[in-house]
Amino acid sequence: MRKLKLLFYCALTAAVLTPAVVFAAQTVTEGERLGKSCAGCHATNGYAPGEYIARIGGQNTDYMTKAMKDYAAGSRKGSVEMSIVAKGYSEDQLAAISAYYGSKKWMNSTNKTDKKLVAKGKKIAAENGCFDCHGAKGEGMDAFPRIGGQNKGYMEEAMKRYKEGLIESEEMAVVKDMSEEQLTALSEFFSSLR
Amino acid sequence: MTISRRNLIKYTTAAAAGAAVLGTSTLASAAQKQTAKVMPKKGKRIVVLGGGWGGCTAAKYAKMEDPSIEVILVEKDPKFISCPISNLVIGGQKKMSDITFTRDNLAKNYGIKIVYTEAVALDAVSKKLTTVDGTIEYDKLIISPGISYAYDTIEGLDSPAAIAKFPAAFKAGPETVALRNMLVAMKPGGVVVMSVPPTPYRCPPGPYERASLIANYLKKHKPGSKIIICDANDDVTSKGPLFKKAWADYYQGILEYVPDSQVTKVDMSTGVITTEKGEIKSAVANIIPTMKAGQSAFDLGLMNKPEDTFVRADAFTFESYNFKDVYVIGDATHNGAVGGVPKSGYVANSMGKVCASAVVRTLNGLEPVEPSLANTCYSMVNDDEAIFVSAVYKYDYNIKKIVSASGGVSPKREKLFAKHEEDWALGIWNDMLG
Repeated sequence: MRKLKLLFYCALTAAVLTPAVVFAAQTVTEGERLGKSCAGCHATNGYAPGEYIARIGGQNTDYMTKAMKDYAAGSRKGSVEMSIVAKGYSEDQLAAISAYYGSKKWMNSTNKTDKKLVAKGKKIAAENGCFDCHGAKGEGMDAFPRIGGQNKGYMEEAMKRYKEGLIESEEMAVVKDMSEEQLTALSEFFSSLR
Repeated sequence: MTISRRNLIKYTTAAAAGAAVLGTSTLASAAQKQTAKVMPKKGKRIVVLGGGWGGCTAAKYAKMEDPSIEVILVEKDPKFISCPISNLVIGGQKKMSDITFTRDNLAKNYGIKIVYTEAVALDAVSKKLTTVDGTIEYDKLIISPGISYAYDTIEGLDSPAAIAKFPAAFKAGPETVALRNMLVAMKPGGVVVMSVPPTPYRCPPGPYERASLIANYLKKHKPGSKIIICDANDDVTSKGPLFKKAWADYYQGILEYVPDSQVTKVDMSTGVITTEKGEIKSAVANIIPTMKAGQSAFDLGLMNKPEDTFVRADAFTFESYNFKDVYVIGDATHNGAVGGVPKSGYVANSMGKVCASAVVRTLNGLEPVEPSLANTCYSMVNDDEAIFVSAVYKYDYNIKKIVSASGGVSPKREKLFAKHEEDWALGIWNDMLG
């Protein structure tokens, strides 16, 4: 009896101590299966090292899901690459990929930023209520994207598209009256924000 | 140059091979060396042969999926030189140092063991890969052989001197530098000939991007010069309308495109290039011969049919038709077996991930998951504008091959796409080596 009990405890301990990786290896989510190939442009875990390709690891899932669906539907114009790529997946698959990258830890951009432009951008952001939706650290929430620590070239190009009306958004109408110089400053600021 | 341990081994081996002709004792010691075991196997082990785009990705993603499995990467060249972006070295926009990396982070960040040596034989029954430095046992072997050139398809391209005079430069390295230097040294007014091999070949838009960048260079630095593209195919094989538009807008009188003009003969003493349509006297000629799988694919017995020049592998897992537990990925795969994917670096990167997962899962007694691949590939048409092609690929259960799920090209050339090209390279280099 005592021996049996011991065996039981051993089995229990083994179950508890079994490394998580072994378990993880058994279940591959749909998001991981489909999302790994995205890293060819967006880098491993979505931590794109350049300036003009977005960081997607740790981005808010709801925002990414909406953006991907809009790319596929053709209503989020401007990024031709993403319009073509997003059409290759179903809506459920796009949501799964978004959840996969959304579940990663966010890692801030390594882009170099200009101090003067950052200061200028900070002022523009405060005057235009950017923090109201995107949060004090630009962390965003739900359908509002994280922009603090995002790559600067990507953000600048995205804002130009909001300005030109290629991407429709009531909230982002705030950039319509801004100059390109102001958008550059905003991108520098948010890219540097921690 | 400092001599690393690896180079020392290489030179010693070369010296031994030379001496072997003279005496049997060195031959015997070389054989002894090959049978000695490198790193005796304890637990589960994946060996990856070939440290290019497919191999580095497969090694890294295998470790990411299950760090408890031992992963050994076998590669002969200590340097990783990127073929994508190498056209910019030929065009003068980038330097070799911009595209040359080490694989050190794969060892440091993921615990991958890297052995710089050359594979010579495969025993798929007892699961042993023989290298010049010893035998390595495996449970699963992933081979990413890359490509080699069928020099014998062109008359006159039959000696190291002829090959050096007409470099293909489709494996980035010394030939990339040689071609760049030839262009710089060329007298103004000279004719550059470039041949495009028949499909399938590595990087379909690659020759046309290169021709565009050479034309860009000639326009600025070599007045009166021109480049003639002798294409074995009946039309531009990738991004055709976009390339032709750029050529019409920027390179009229500098770039001449001739379809259906496969190069049949080269003459290294005169520089005359013979094609199906006639003869051209070249000052510089970038002769890209018909391509086939890398030599290791032939040497290790991976060819399935006598006429095959690429490796047949299962489209779901990339397990080779010939050997159980031996997998083949990248440009060396046979499109008739895996499906209609281009031979691009991005596809090799995607294949590496699919294959690594299939290998890790089967090694752990699990079913492999359905493949999903993608491709995005940029081409520069001058100093600051680029075009691209993108696609997503999925597995078709009816035909048991990989098929396109979506795809398209850029509507036009743009400066922004050139910035994307640069950042794309940073992203995918990170994904393979970071």
